[in-house]
Amino acid sequence: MSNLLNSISNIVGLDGAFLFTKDGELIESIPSENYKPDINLKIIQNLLKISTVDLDIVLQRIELFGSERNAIMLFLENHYFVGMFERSANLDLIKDELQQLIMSINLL
Amino acid sequence: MIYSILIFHQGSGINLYSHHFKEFAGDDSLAAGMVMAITGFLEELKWGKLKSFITHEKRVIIIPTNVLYVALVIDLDDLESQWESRAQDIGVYIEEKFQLYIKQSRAIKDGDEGAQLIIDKLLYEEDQTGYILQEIENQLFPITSLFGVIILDKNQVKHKLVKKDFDDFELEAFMDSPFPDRMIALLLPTLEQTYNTLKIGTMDYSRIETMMLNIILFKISSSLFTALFLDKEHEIELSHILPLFQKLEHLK
Repeated sequence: MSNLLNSISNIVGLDGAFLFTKDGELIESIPSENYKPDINLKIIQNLLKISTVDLDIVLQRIELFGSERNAIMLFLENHYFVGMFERSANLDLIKDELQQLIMSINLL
Repeated sequence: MIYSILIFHQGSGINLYSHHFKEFAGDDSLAAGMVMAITGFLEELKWGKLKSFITHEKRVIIIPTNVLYVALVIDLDDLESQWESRAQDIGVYIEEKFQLYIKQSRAIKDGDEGAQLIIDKLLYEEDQTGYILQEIENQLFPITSLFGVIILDKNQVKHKLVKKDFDDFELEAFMDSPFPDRMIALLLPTLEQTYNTLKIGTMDYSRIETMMLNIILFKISSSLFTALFLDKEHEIELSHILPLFQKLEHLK
């Protein structure tokens, strides 16, 4: 189970990555020295609640482009992944790595 | 969006009034002289009067009244018809109100008889929202991957534009239902909260992927947002889309 996030740890511009179970347990993280977000799982669960419970629309992934950094949230069958990137990071270039990560997580 | 208004005398070409809504580094009389010169050539050639011209960046429409030309410098993708009647109204107003100025070829200043206030009113009196929504439809609906657009102000759905007769019946029924409106109105505040919690700053834009379709959310201003509903297979080129929606912000 260890080093699941290894495949993306070398991505240029990665500012932190976090993997949770659906119950909110942090399985693994790549911490960043200059960036410590307060990842409130309730927020993520609220997003999912809006989509799945209320409207029956299954969310798969959200990309957030912000004024300070960008984020990718993946909603997998049994896990949530949150990855944070510097604004300069090219999200298109890291999609392959994320795909590999998704496959590894799905094997859990 | 309007950049400048220039009013000059048809006979002499003297610039009587000008106002720039955006920074203007040029010379008003030079602009008037250029339009007069082109108008003169066209008359010599008997090609009719100059009605408009475009550059790589701007569109200029020129409306003649009895003795004046009213020139509006507008966005390249603005509809001429949207501005023509306003230019006409402004020309008629100036001719009536400033007869002495015209006779004496005297420049009209913004403060003279409240000229700028009245011109602003004539420019923006009619609600342009309908024109802009039509323009959004005209430009975006030919994009095959797009199903619909929702525009929100302060988390309330203001406008919903849905394409008709696309191939997927399920998607068409979904877009016609109140669900997309509800979803976006619910998602938006939660997404903003997420931006704050994850410390990723203010929203530039967001891309949301669902099993059924993708949604791209733009922040146009502090309260104005737009959501584009797209199929899952195709990406959309965003750079030319945002200015379209920014016109709605200009109206607020």
